[in-house]
Amino acid sequence: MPEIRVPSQCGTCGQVDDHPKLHYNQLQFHHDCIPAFVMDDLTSETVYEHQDEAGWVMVDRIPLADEDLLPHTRQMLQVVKKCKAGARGEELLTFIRKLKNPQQED
Amino acid sequence: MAGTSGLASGTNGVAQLALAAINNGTALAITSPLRVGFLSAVRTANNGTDTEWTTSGGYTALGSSSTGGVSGLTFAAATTDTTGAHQASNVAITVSNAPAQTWAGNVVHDSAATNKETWYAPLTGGSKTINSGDTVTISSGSFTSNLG
Repeated sequence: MPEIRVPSQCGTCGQVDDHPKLHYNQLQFHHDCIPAFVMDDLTSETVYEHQDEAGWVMVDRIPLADEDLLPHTRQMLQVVKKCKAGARGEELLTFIRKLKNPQQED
Repeated sequence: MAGTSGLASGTNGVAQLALAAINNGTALAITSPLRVGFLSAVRTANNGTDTEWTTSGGYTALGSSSTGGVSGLTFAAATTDTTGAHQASNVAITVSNAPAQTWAGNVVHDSAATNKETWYAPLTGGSKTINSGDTVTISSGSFTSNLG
C-alpha cells in the first residue's frame, strides 16, 4: 500500500508539498528553509523567566557545543546539511530513513 | 481547565507524591534524565490515559522502566513573581525521522526503574499531522510549569 503523505506549507518559502519538513511547534519548514531564530533555538540553552507584566520572557541564550547537543538534534543537523547540499523529496527521505534511531543509543 | 494539562495523577503520576512531600510526608525522588513522550491523543482527565506514538523510525515509545521517549529535557532555575513560582524548559526537544503520526501533545517521564509520570500537555494551537521522515521539535521554553 503506497504511503499517504499530507502536503504542508513551508513557513519560509511558502511552497506546499509533502517533502520532509521540520515541525517547530505549529510552524513547519523545509530543512534548508529553517529560519535563523529556529536554528538558534534548536542549538542553544535558553533561560525563560516569568515576569508579572510580560509573562514568559527569554532572558538568556547560550549556544551549545556540538558535544552537548542531544542525539536527535545532531541527527537533525545531518538532515539539514544533506538538504542544503541539494537533496529534496524522495532522495532526502531515503537519506533520513537510513539514519540509526539515536534513542537506541541512550 | 482540569484535565487538559498539568501534573499527572494517574498510575505512576507524581501529583499525589508531590502533595505528600510538601505536606511533610515521604520525600519525592525524581531520577534523571527526564524523558519526553509524543502523543497522538491526550487524556481529558488528569488521571486519564494518553495514546502515545508507537515505536517506529526514529522514535522509541516510553517503556515502563527507564527506556524510550526523548531523553534530555532540562529546566532553567525557578523564578518567582507576585503570581507564584515558575519554571520553564531550557532546551528544544527534537525527534528526527519521526513516524507518520498525529502530534497532539506530550508527556514527561523520569528514568526510575519504574518510571514516574510528571507533566502532560496538549500541543498549543491544536494537533498537527506528521509525515514519516519529518523532524518534530518542541521549542525551548515550551514546557512551562507554575505553582502558587
